Amino acid sequence: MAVAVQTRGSTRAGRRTLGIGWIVATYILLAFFVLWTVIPFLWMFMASIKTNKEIYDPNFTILPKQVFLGHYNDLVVKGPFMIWLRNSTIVSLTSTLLALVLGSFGAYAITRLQFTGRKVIAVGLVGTYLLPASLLFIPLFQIIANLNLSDSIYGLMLVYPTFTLPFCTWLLMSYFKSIPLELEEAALIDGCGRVGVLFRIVLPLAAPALVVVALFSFTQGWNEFLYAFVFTSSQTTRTLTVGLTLMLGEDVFYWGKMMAGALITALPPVIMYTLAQRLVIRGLTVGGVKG
Amino acid sequence: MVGPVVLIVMALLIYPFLDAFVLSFQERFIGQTGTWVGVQNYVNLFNGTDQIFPKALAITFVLTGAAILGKLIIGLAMASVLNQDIPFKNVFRGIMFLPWAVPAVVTAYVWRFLFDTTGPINGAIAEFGILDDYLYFFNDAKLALPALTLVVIWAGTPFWTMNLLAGMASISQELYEAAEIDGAGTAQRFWHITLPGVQPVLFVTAMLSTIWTSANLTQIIILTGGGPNNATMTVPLLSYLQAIPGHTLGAGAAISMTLVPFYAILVFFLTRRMLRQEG
Repeated sequence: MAVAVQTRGSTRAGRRTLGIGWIVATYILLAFFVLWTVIPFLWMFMASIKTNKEIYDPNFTILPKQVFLGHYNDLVVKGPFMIWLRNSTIVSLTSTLLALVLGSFGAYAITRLQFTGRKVIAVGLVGTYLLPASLLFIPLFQIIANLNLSDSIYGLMLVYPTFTLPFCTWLLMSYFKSIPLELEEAALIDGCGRVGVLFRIVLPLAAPALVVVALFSFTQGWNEFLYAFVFTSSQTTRTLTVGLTLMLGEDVFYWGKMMAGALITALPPVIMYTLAQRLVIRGLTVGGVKG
Repeated sequence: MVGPVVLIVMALLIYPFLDAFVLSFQERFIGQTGTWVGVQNYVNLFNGTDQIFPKALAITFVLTGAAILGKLIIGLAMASVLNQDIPFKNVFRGIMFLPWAVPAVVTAYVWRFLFDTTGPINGAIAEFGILDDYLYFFNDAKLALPALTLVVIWAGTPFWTMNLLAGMASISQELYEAAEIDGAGTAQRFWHITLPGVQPVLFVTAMLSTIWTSANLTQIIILTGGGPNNATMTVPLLSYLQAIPGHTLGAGAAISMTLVPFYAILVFFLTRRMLRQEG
């Protein structure tokens, strides 16, 4: 089930008999979609390397007259940006680690062990994965307050598994199922315990899925906004995504610095997804929808 | 082995959800204990003089409907283009998935900048003298919702493209070859083979996207905060404003609960579908 996406051969549908009109239409659309996608990012990048004078000049140009790195410098040297960066990194890494370890155990148990309630747990995982954060942030706000974790990154570490863990377990489940049972049976007969089987046989075979799970958890944690926005309130506990909102009121001329900050915030997920594009697309379409 | 997952799901998803339900029948301020008020929070939603809740409900459906339609059309077109045998196909795929990879906050601020009076859209308007004044997109009651919808579509389309491409790749090539022999044109093949072929994927994608689009708060908080004059007030945003800045957790929970029947239907069908595919 995990091979549907990128395994196409060289014969693609319709190509040989596409009329010239359709070919032209295809390339016009392609050009449009590239511009539609790229222009906002390009504009962000250009603004981040322009001086304020240039950005706020009514007769602005698309390319900067000279490259100005002051906004980046300001972010790194002044203010709490580096603290936000650190917070985002810590919170995302923690939720990734949790999703990997607990997700692997959970997925293995659900796919390989016979116990009552297996089906219920599988249904529960899908159901809870689909619960939107907008239904959960109010009660979670109370729970975090009761645990005295308000306004700390520990509160975020606690709630981020709510969206990473169900999905990661689910994704690993579908992957584990594709691993032949015979390998494990041989190891079990040889006296290898369940945990040993998981670590020595299943997980090495599931390495591509683990990469996707790690990427997914990290970027979802990194990109998260609502919980961080609601559960933290001081400069030192903000994550990058929430920190960006604070930059708005800081200065009269904020766009340059803001776009530099936005670019830095966008960079880790973009780099990761670009490097692992094939794996991720396959993983996500397997987890969410199957072709 | 499955214990920790079950524990976390129970403690952080199922319990809070039930807690929100109970909370919605209480009057409760942040930091205080609640008092039971029965269905008063729900009754208040329709009794307010400003009628803000019915309005927010309508806006939520309009925004979600328009955004889903936009993502469907653009996603289908994008997937069809990327499914062709074009050079550098993987590079183009990578580029078009970018809006999906970046944080929603980044999307929101980039578009806020694009729509700003110092941004390129207003720059072009001034440059070519199209209008006498700038367009204040997110401060204009008529333009705010369309502009917001555009941003939501832009950010959400790659998810559709990705899934539709996967669906298209699973369609058997023999079908196309047979249709070709029978003399079917490109449009006919798309209509009679591609569309029915991606239909199961389309169904699941549409439901997932409906849940996430209607529940989305990030872009609205950053772009409009519900304004101007509540023109972009959605149910999740109203619930947030009541519960957190307004300190009335019970009333906020009641507002968020009103969408639960709608989510329940979607989650029911999705869960069945996803488990069945799981085999």
